[in-house]
Amino acid sequence: MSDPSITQALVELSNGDASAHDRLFPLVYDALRDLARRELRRERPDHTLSATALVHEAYLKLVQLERIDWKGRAHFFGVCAPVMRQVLISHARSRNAAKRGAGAAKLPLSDALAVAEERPEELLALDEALSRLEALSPRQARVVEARFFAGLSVEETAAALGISPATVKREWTAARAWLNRELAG
Amino acid sequence: MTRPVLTPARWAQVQEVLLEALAREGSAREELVARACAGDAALEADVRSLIAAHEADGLLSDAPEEPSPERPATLQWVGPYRLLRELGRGGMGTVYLAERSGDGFTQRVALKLMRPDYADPRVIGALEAERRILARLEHPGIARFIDGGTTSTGQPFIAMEYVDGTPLLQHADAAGLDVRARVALCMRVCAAVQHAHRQLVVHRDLKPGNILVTADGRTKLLDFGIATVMDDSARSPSGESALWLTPAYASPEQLRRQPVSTLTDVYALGVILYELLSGGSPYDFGDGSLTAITTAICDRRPDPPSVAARRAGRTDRARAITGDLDLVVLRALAKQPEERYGSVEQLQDDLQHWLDHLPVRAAPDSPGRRLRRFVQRHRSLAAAAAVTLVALVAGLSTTLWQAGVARDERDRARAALARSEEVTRFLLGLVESADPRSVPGDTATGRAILRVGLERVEELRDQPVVQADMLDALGRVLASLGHFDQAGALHERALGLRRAVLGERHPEVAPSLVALGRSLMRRSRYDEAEARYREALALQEAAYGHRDPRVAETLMELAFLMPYRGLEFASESLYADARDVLTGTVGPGDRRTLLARQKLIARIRLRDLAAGEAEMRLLIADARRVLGDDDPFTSNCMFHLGDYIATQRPDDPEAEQWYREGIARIERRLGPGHMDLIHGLNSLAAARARRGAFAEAESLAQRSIAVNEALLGSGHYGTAANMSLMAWLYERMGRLDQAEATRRDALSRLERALGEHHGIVAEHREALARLRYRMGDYAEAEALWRTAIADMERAFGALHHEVLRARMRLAALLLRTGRTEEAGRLCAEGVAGIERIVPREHAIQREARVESPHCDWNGAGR
Repeated sequence: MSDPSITQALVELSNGDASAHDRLFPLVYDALRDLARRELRRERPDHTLSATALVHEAYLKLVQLERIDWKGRAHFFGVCAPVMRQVLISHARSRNAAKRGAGAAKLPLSDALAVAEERPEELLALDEALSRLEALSPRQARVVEARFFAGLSVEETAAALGISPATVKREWTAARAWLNRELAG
Repeated sequence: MTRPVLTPARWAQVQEVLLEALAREGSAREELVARACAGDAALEADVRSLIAAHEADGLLSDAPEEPSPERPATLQWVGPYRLLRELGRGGMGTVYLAERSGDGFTQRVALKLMRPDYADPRVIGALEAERRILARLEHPGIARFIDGGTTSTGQPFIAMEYVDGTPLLQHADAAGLDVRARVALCMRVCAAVQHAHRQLVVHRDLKPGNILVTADGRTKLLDFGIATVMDDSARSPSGESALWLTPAYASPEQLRRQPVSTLTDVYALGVILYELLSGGSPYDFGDGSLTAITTAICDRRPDPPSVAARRAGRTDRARAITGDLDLVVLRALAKQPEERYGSVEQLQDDLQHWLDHLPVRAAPDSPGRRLRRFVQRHRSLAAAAAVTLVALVAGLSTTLWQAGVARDERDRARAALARSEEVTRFLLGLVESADPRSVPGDTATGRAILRVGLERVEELRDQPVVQADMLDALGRVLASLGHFDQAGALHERALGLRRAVLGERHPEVAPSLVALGRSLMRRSRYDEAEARYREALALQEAAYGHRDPRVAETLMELAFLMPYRGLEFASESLYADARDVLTGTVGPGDRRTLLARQKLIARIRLRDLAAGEAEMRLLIADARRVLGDDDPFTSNCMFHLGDYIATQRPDDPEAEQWYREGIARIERRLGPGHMDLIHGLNSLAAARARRGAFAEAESLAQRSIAVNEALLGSGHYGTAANMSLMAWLYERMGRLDQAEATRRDALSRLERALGEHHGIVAEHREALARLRYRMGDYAEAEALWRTAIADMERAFGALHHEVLRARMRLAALLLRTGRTEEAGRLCAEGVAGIERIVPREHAIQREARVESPHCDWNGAGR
């Protein structure tokens, strides 16, 4: 099931060919969207799949593991972040349209997938706020995409974005505070 | 509340204060805020509101996942898993109970954290590559692999299904299990191991400590495949695996640093069974040093478990372990892998036999002993049984090694003779215990038994399906001896019987159709053969669906036929299909699946030699792991690989290394005169001849022919066909007269064996034509050519590439003798035909271009 073109693009990206990133995006998008759709459609009380798991599952399924080193893996996760954002926002939009008027559960949800499904209007608000944060600090927006939409760990985010884990933590703290304030206010 | 519009610069400033503030608490924080925002009310408001937002429970919560700076020594989280408590420590690392929470669920896993010095990129890479394989191991008896990765400190970890259970030996003692119950327990473990073997996973570190028994009595294997990962990544350049194992439970081959295979797991199961039965280890490890352990395991023969049990004071257990069970355990513990059971399944079967009070295969004199016992009970059936036995045995060793056929025969015997359970068991036991070194059909004994069989088969008139089985079996023997017409007649009879009894649409009619098809193929009646195969395929697919191993085997028969019809690529597709079906049904570790891959690779390399070579290397690695280095199939693959290397890189000595290794292993395993050697001997002879080592080449070729003669007789078409290698050698040495004599001899033998106008005879005739042309006798060469081509056209069809190439070769002679018009026509038709069938890089076209440069190839330029 692994896609040679995705693996190939990752290899080229690792070798310094920046244009490979553009090729990668649509490929990963299609795959992640299908995976996410499958998970979101399941009517299961225990929604066991999270954004983290989805991205990791995509990695296992799409990439020819034996050809990829840790740098390639980081690149893959790096692409997954913005892709997941688009996939989930698009899902939230359709959910929002369907759910208009229905009362939303008031439980705090921390997983992007769950939020897209259960409280789409919040996710859309977050997306909009994130676009505004991007104008202030593009890097913080990237960190939020990685940590929240793709569920990457601090270490994975650091590798994907090419910054230190300490920096990731700082950016995440600041961005989080700002976004929470925007959404609450 | 309105806030000033933030700019990036402003935001940077706000952030700085925010982060500093959050790094402090209480009054220290207040102090900092006041100081940093001095005078700037807007800034202070911003910072305070952000601090409040940080503390609030918003959409983006801050899950703790890294150890905070104040507690660097305590590792609480690994990836998404929170460590709860330590479960145990091993040489490789520590195992924790961990859990992962999500919305509404909690998953518990056993998380094994590797020691920090294992954070090697190769290990991590190998772990990831194995993940896919391990993820496929879904079996109730195996602790499921759930996840794997690395921590932020680079330590690899593996998360597996958490099993709450007791280690195997403790459970057996605590539950007070008797010998029979312990055997049954062991069999449950065997089932799990066998499942993994089918998925090409070898455990390599099986030991009682690795097996837990749950409250409901289920056994669960732990740490599956982890040893595989470790070995591959720690492999030294020479290919030896690092000594990664528990010495006391290691097999002799592991201690000697020889490659491991599924038979290593068989050994380990023997040790486990030994300990279950006798309560102690098979060996006395003296002072416990590695030397002492190695000597004990590699050189000392263990006492039978019953003796050990008695010595330990467990007399009633010793009594219950009757003689046969001792033999089973000892066979599994054999020092040489090939002397153990051939598979875990075979071990399981014998254990089941022991439980059912039936004879076990491990007993050394069992064929004779059981034959006597059986004959006493069933006189008439014994005769039929004997014939089937011989037919099956003979069929196994004279035809080309079709490893999957062994099981095929067994399955057919089982199905057809199911009416009598005892007969079935007896026959299976005899067949499976048959020594592969046994003599095939064309010996005095073999022929005598064959004659008896043909007489006796008439006595089975009242059991038509059994009779049909026997007729097919006898037919196969006759075919392997080269008597295709006779064989065909028997197959036709068998087919008629099956149709009459089972009905036209019954899927068990299919095997007769296939057998008949094969004999038709041998007689160059390719259209009719294909029709039979397709009939068989239709019956089987209607009954079993497409995804069935029986269907796959028929697909392979069809695939084998296709090149004779000139359909090269259809052959490839069919083999690929068969491989996929087999992979999905019996698993990638099954012999039949490996065989399908081998045949597929043989097709692929015609159009892409490099791909063929690469694939064959992978196949050899898999075959080594699953079947063992010494298995004839593995050696056969080595010959193929040698051929591919020699074709691409004639000067590469690696080809010869493969030939020699394959030959040595077959000699060791099957003896110096076995059929399987011929491919290796011939290829090595050719390779040596190309290097100019003619003396050695000649002696190898002579040996190859001698094997043929010993096994098949000098009148057999196979022996005659092999002589063409000799002729080729003589030609290369420049001894054209000797080459001619050899070819004429071979030709007359072939004509006698197959008939004057047989397709294979025609091919050899054409080879003689080429030689005579080379020797300057154009008249005879042309006559031979025309006869041969006419026969080949009849056999293969006028558009077959072999026919076209023969015609183009004739064209060279015609040009030489002034018949330019006919020559031109033959060339043009040949080039057009071949360029249409295959692309330029395909072996067929490449070779044709080389041998017929006088023809006008596209892009060749004149």
